Amino acid sequence: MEVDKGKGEAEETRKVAEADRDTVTLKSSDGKLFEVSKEAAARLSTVLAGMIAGGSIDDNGTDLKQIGSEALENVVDYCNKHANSIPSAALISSSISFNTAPFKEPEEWERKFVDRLSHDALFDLVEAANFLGMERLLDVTCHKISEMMKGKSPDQIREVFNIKNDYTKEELEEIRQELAWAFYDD
Amino acid sequence: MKCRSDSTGGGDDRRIPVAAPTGDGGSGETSKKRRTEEPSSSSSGAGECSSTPASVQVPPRPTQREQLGPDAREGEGEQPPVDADAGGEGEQERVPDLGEDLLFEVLMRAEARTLASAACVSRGWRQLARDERLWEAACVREWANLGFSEQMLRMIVLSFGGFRRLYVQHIRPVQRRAAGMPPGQRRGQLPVRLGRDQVQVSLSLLSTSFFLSMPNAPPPEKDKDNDKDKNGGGQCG
Repeated sequence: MEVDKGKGEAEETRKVAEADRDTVTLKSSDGKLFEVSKEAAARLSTVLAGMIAGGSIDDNGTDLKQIGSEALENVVDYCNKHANSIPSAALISSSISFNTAPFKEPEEWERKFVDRLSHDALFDLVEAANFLGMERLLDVTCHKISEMMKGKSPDQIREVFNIKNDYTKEELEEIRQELAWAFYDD
Repeated sequence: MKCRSDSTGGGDDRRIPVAAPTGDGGSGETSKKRRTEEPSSSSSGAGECSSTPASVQVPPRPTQREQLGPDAREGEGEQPPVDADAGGEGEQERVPDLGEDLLFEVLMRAEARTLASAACVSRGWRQLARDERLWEAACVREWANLGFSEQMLRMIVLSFGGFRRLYVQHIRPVQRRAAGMPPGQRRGQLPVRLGRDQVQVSLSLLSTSFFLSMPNAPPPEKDKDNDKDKNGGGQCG
């Protein structure tokens, strides 16, 4: 009993101490530490918001084992830029999980943000955004990838995504017939 | 689960999609492992949902999971990259690969034409691109600009056979007509974008074909009521 109580108190003080800090420290899979504003983290990431609310943020670096340092750096970068450039929470609430609300076009800075990323970095960032429940970032990155596919032939898409064509000729012909309207120009 | 109504007739399932994808619980065996670690994530509900039937219904899709090979983070679970008929694929140059769920998220933001291209990429992609929600999203996005309300589009299209079916069966004839092209001709430029009237025609074709294919098909003269059906489509659903 006594022990429990003491533990509870310690927990309590820890939480208070945490509440005082206005940043959280995140640790990538390869052990690098990144600081990000607590407010931005909580606002942009449902997962981090949950961790902050639940007190499971570690002062010495909250382990995010699924996220490499490059992707995490981009995440943090995004959070910082977001905090600087967008005053309202309107963007975040435009949930993408089922596209009832039409996708809100990326802002200029968001476009630049994803445009500068390499193919690898972009894909890693999508995964990080998904893992952290960052809907807007997921939105922006997925939108970027869908733009990469836009206007591309199946062959070109295979190249981008490194997919092997496992269709037989007949199958491919059949499906092209079915979707003939989309291939008007060949 | 019915998430992937790979048919065209999934109308009724699609009426409750807003609720459906949020249920983490229902996503079953294929849903991502990572989600067990982050229960609070509300992100790709749709994607999660989509992955479920993958293992259920799709025999020819080993590729999809296999391509996860390079991505050690999420490949671990229920489907080790067994090779079935597409062996060796996972060992190509390392290009990061999105899982099925994330690819779905990407396709959710793609245009209908891109969906069509994607369907031609591989069997796995085709299976994914059959998902009615993708076509719905594309359709609603593209046509919202023409003044069709989402709600109306959903009501009509879902009642009468679904968005994918609409694209597959009822867009091309309208495109041809718009281009003044005889039905027999195979190649040539067709306009990609439809105008408002053309969309109306497509919707009419869709509803007409729906009525004609009803088991106790109404007498042909009923077709004339098509325009009214647009308004009253809900009652048929």
